[in-house]
Amino acid sequence: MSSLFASLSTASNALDVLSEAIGVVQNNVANSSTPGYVTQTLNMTASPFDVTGGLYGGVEASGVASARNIFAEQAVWTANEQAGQSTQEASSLSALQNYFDVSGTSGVPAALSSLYSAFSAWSANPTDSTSRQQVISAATNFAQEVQQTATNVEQLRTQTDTQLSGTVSNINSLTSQIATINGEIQEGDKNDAGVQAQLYNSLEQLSNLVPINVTTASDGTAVVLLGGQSPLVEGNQSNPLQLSYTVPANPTIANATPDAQLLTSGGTDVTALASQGQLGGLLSFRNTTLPSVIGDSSQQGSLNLLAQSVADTVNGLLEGGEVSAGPPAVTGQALFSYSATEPTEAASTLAIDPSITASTLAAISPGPPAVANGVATQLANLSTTPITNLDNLTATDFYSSIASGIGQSESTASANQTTQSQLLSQAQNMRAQVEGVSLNQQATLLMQYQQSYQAAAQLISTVNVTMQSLITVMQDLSS
Amino acid sequence: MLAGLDAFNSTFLVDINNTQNAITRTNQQITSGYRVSVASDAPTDIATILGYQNQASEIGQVQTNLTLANTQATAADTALSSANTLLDQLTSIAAEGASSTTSSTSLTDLSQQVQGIAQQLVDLANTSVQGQYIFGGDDPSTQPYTYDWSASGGVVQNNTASNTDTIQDISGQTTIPRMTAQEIFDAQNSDGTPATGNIFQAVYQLGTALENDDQAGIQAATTAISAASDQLQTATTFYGNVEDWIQNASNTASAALTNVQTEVSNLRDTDVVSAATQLTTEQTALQAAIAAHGSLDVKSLFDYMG
Repeated sequence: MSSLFASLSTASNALDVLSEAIGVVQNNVANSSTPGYVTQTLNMTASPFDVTGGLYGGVEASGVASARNIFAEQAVWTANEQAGQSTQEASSLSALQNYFDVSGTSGVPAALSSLYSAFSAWSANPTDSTSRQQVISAATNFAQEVQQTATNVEQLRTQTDTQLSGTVSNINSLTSQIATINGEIQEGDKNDAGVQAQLYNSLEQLSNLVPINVTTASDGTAVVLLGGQSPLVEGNQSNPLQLSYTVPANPTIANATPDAQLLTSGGTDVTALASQGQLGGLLSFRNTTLPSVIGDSSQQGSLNLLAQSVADTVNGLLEGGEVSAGPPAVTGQALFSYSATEPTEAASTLAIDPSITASTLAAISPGPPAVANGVATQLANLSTTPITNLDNLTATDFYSSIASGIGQSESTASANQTTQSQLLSQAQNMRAQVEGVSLNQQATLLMQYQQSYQAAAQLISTVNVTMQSLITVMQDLSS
Repeated sequence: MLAGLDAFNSTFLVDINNTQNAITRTNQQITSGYRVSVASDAPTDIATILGYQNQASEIGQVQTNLTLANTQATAADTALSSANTLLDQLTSIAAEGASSTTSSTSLTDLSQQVQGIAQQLVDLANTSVQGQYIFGGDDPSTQPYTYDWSASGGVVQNNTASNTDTIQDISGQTTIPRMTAQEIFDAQNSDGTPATGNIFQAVYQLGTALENDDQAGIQAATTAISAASDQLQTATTFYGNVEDWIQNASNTASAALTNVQTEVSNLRDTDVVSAATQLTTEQTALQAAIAAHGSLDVKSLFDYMG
């Protein structure tokens, strides 16, 4: 009789365990598309079974196991960091290269060609007022195109600063979320699949923005380090990042726009740690690519160098020439002006010297021998004359090297973006293989648990019938 | 374990995004006509493309300059030809004046004719093209001479500018493309006195001799006119050489421009046939990918459970 009661008890317990198992399956199915969620499995263990010793076995639920695989997660984070960086670099460089015409039909190269043509036409007709006025017009146009390019690049720097601010804000928001989730974990939700899903979804989003290293503390909370060194999240505390634009001590170029610095809340410079992710791409573009074009505290920038060198070369020739051979000879004057005190503003301030007019352009080379169109011819020949300050390249070739460099970087970044997107997709796919919810598997488990549940229920029914028979026999005997 | 659909869809989206980007790029190349629209399209070709573009612009301007110089040289050649005709007329007049049968009245008429020719020669020395005196040297805006028979030599010189302007071909070779009116019509010694071959002086000498019935003067003027013809021939030869130089420079420039434009086109322009084939291939790949993805049986075992 006691064994029948034990059978009823174990069968009843089995129904409870199988009910839990089916609950786990329904939760898996419900969250099969939830970001960060991984397959949960109810651990079922057999109870001790020794009939002679009075142990009637049965099944017990011994917790829910998560399929979370930290190596698969880390592979996704690493791929995500690189994808974030290359995507950002491709985007920023694409915007930058649009400001550098390579067709030769617009922008700086076309203006430069027009200027050389105007010099050439002037050399063929040095006293012609129309030719002289054309030189003034072409020079004005060149200065405006250089200025416009400098303005566009400067605006891109401002936009990049805005993007940087937004990205840092997103990072701080995510680290704050992670700290909050850590707090929930500390309060006892360590194995809560939903809390874990939120945590890992936040970590994946964060890895797209900055390079992170994640370890799990003994209390189950995630410790997140920036670049493996600087803590972003510890327990339920997050350490927000901030941006700084501080002029370095003893800058090479005073008054230039300083680079962006990434600081911890304590003021430590962690810029070098943010080498990947969207933030890494933005910082690299802001602190390396843009300064190489428009300058910063440590360099003049290639566009400024181009503007200054062309202006200096043209001015030098004109100032060495004569407007009139006289006597007395009237010496020439500068055509271009720019900010001589701010090397990083040479392009943005390039303009026509306000005092020059068409009639004061110096065409005459004093020689000896004097040549009436000597200076004009030398100016026309600038199109093929290397300029020392421009790495011994012509102005057109130097401009080409700027555009080519940006184009090469953009091409590399775009190729990286394609590759990294595929690698990220592969890493996510691999992770899904390891820890994702398979509906087929869950359906199989559901059928399995359903059949077990039906069998256990049937067992209870059978024991019940048996016990009824036994009770009936005993009633008959007593009567 | 089977992967979830999310990861599968993610891979599909990455791949299809790449294909669509390729289609956009190819389509842009076809519609714009340019294979290289931005620097990243062909970073290593940028310097060459812009270099050629700059070269094309430079050659174009040199061609314009040569055209202007040629216009002036042609005008000069025409003027010199006219001057030569006038000198022939002067030679005839001198011969007629030297004849013993010519009356003093006729000599006066002949002198008047000579003065008329002198005025025409001054007009030729003042020939202008597009508002510029082609024999004005470095000061083409100032008329070189004014006719004034009462002045010494019958003319007044307004412009003493030298002639140093040069024109340049595409290789940077230069030449002086013109002579001054003084060099052609008013050859002078270093002390400023008329030199042998001075046309104005020869004409003035003849006119004066005819006016004065000075047979010796007429003979001397005839000799001077002959020397003036030689001087004119020298100038004509000079301009012939200039026109040849310009023609050669123009031919070289035209050939170079064609080459440069061809090179630019080869580097920058879209090979439409190749691009169209590429576009078709990419579109087919995209359609196939979408169709394949759409036809996937996304059912799970749950769909078969009763």
